[in-house]
Amino acid sequence: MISFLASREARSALPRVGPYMLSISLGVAALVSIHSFRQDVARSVRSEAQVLMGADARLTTSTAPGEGLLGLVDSLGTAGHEVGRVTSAVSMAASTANDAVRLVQLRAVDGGWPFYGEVETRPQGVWSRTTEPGVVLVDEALLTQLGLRLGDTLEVGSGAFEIVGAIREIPTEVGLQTAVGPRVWMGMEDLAEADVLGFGSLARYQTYVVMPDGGDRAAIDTWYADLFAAESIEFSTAQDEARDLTNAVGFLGRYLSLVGLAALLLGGVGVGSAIRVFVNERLRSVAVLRCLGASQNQVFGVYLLQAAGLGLLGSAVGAVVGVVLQQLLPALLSDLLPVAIQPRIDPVTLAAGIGIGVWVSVVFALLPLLRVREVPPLRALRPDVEVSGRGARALRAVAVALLAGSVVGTSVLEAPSVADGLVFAAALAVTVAVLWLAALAGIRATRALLPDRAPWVLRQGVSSLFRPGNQTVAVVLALGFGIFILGVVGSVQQNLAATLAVDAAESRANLLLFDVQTDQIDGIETLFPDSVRETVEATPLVPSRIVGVKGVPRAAFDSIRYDERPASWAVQREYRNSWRGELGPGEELVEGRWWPDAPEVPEGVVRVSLEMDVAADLRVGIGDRVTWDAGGRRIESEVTSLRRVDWTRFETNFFALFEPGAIDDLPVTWVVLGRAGDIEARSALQSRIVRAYPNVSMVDLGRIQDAVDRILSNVDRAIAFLAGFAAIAGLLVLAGALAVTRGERLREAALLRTLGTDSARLLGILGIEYTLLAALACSVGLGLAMGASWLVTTQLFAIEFSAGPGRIALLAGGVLALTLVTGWWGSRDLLANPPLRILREGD
Amino acid sequence: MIVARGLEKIYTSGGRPLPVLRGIDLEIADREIAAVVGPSGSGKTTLIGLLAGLDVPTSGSVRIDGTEIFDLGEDGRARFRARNVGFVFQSFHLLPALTALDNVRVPLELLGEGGAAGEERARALLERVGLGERTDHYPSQLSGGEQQRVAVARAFVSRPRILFADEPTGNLDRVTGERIVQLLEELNREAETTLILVTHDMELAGRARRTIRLADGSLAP
Repeated sequence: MISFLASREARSALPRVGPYMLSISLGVAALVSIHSFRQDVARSVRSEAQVLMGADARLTTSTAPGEGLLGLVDSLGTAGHEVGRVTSAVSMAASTANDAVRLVQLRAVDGGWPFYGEVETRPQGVWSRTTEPGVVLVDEALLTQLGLRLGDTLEVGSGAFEIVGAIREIPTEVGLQTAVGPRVWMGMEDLAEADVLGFGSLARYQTYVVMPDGGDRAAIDTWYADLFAAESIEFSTAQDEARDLTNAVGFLGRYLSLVGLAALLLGGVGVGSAIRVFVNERLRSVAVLRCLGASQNQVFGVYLLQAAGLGLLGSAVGAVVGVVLQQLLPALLSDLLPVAIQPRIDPVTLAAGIGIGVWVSVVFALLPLLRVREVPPLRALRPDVEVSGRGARALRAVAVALLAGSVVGTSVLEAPSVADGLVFAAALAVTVAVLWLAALAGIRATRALLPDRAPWVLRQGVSSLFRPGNQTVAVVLALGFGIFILGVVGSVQQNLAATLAVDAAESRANLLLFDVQTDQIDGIETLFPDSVRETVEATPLVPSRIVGVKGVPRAAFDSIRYDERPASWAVQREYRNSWRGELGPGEELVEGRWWPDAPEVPEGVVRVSLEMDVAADLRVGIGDRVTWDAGGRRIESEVTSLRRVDWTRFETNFFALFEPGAIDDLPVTWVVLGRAGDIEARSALQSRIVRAYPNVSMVDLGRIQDAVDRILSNVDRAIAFLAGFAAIAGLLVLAGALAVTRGERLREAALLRTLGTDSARLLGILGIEYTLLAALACSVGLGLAMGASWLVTTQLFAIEFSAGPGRIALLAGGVLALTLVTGWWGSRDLLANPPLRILREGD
Repeated sequence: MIVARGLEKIYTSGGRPLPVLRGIDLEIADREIAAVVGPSGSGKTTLIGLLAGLDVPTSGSVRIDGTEIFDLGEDGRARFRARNVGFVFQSFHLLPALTALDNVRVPLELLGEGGAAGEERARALLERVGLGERTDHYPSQLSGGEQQRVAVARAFVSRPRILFADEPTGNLDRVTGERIVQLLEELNREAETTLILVTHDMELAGRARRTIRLADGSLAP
């Protein structure tokens, strides 16, 4: 009986309720696409792990390999493991055919690397010639940028090389790396001949090992831990790399899945509204069924089954849309992805998406459906009989518990961790509770504050909020929740984008020179045109390593308790320190005092100012000692101030700054920042500098800016894309929430017309009611959204928060306008048609 | 004086024309009490809907005291109703958001007479229909008979020249219905209103001075 009736009734329900059920489709589509995409990325990266590294494991140092490392590599070779080396450096490359120059990334290789994967070259199969003396292979991009052809000569450092091939694709070079500059591949001996590895140059020495056995790799990691620490060797496996790459994309994925969940829950709210509308329209049928002898459970079953069926339909539509989006996402994020993504339709993900969609539909439909049980059979005879009960108390409790449990459950499932899921669910609970209380308070306040002598239209509009059987709480909840989600998503996106964006207007310099020796600074300055010479700014760099913290030598750090031990990244990295008399424009003192007022230190100790985050990771504060090794000399320093640094500015900034005069006598190189007009002017200047000082490398910051902008626009596009989902779902929820009261409103308006109310006053009454509802929902929803956005930006992403009043006003105005338009749309047939028909329908 | 000429209303049902009124000619004098009777589907509600300007005819005209109401437009007719017409419905049709008193005040508010004097008048009328103690109750808190008494008070509060009553006792038991009819008669006498009743109840129809019989959309002799 139940399925028979349900299927018959659903046919007529579909056109009425179907559009609102689309809100669940949006949620399911978002979830299915994000999950599938994340799986695609993880699978693609995992299967390509060895190819991405070109080996199974890698040993990296930032200085030429020490004796211990060389010994280890020898013994690995003896043990039968294939070993290959890659040394990377940056240098300027110049064309002999014309004067064009370009910063390039040099890659000197020997051995059989890459051991996995294919390098695609033009002409085909010339990769093996890389190690031949006197020849190079270059990225296709370099040929275009320098106007070169195969067979031409490329000058690198003090050497000249024949270009014998172009690299079309090499799987080990991914993502952002390409932004620094095109690559030039040569043999190890040629690198020595080019002589670009001067003191302090940015170089990286890598040894690649074929070691398919995971046990071997783990053993190396443990056995040689001391050596790795002593010689600052970074040991990583292809699996580590793949995991890091997946995690990098995971940052985005994590945010996206929360957006997806928000869209799904919004969809649930939409379903709730849709079912409420549906139940309102079916009260007569329910009463008739009850008259004919259907039990409470039977009528409840009939409508529950319909809700599930509509949910299934909506979810299936969503799954299909999700699969389409899954195919689009890789293209949208192409610049961020390390490997080519092969989208694969995973039946389990699809089924899970549809399952969760149906479940959310049913759970959100339960509360409004309980009303069906309370319809008295008498209503079939007397349509004005009130359906007073909202369901038996016990049943309502069960429905609420199911709903709450489902929200917590899905949050924990979707969020990156159980704790994050609980926080997310708690935030939702707080939102709903505050909205609910605000709605009740709003009803009370309007009732109390409404002056008895206010104009009738105003009183009539306002009184709709607190009339018996009003839907104020339901509408404010649905609308406010939608606004909350939109507000959070929009605000977080804005804050992320603002943080990631590099402010172009503030970066005065557009040319960066490094590896400049002290005696070259004056000469380089004279090469800049007179008009811009004063923009040239030289900053010293002192390559240093940390050898001790708070008097504990680095070798003994392992004996420090874990929670007090300096973080290994902060200890092992190669520091490029500097000295400075004044704080830079992107710096701010947060603790201690800047020199010359900084506290005095004993003889033989120098004062240092640390960047606050690195200080925190080194577990040091004001007054603590840090011991450095700079070119073999030991420097004992005392922390006298901490700085906050805005790293997004194109300026030279440092983790550690010394006071002028303290370390001037150490081995030093310089970076020079300058401004040199447009791209042609910069190219010409680069040519002049590289001819005069072949050891100096240059970065055209303008080009980098372009590359960064391109990648950022990728991220922005992906986020905006999914935020769009939440927005559309929010609109559907809004329409659904207003549709809940539509029938009642139409009847009332028709009656008012019958009694002689004209259109202007009718519109006034509706306008006042909708405006009040929107204002109440907006103020509470947006207030909560700002709170949640502050939490997410500062706690989850650890970035600065700005509320963006302009955006808030825009969102509030938009919601108000949409509410009014939706309200007007729902009432237009009333304004267009004579009232009699509506009165008759009402009977 | 209400004058209807050639009043015709054709609905479209399933793509086919469905005539409900077929050329009605009718005159109702001032202060007359007329009952419109006829079997279900004979067009009774449609007829008074047209006489009150709640719907527009397919053809024909209605003139009330010299005003061609279908020349007025939807809003013009609404304003005309506010000034001249009162209604009592079978299912009461009170505004659920308003108390009994506020429901009665609505027509006065629409005329801009909702001030203290208006409130007094509304209160007095509620007293008159026996609901002086229940002015602050919402419709959902009133019984059917009480709701209909509020509706009667609302219908008379603006001193309309014409009152339309569509099955005013249809949803009420016999005793309660009788009280409503008495009220209508008394108030009609006092206010000198033209009263047009639609009813199935032949006894009620018999109390009217004139009976208008409808059969299949036409006036029956």
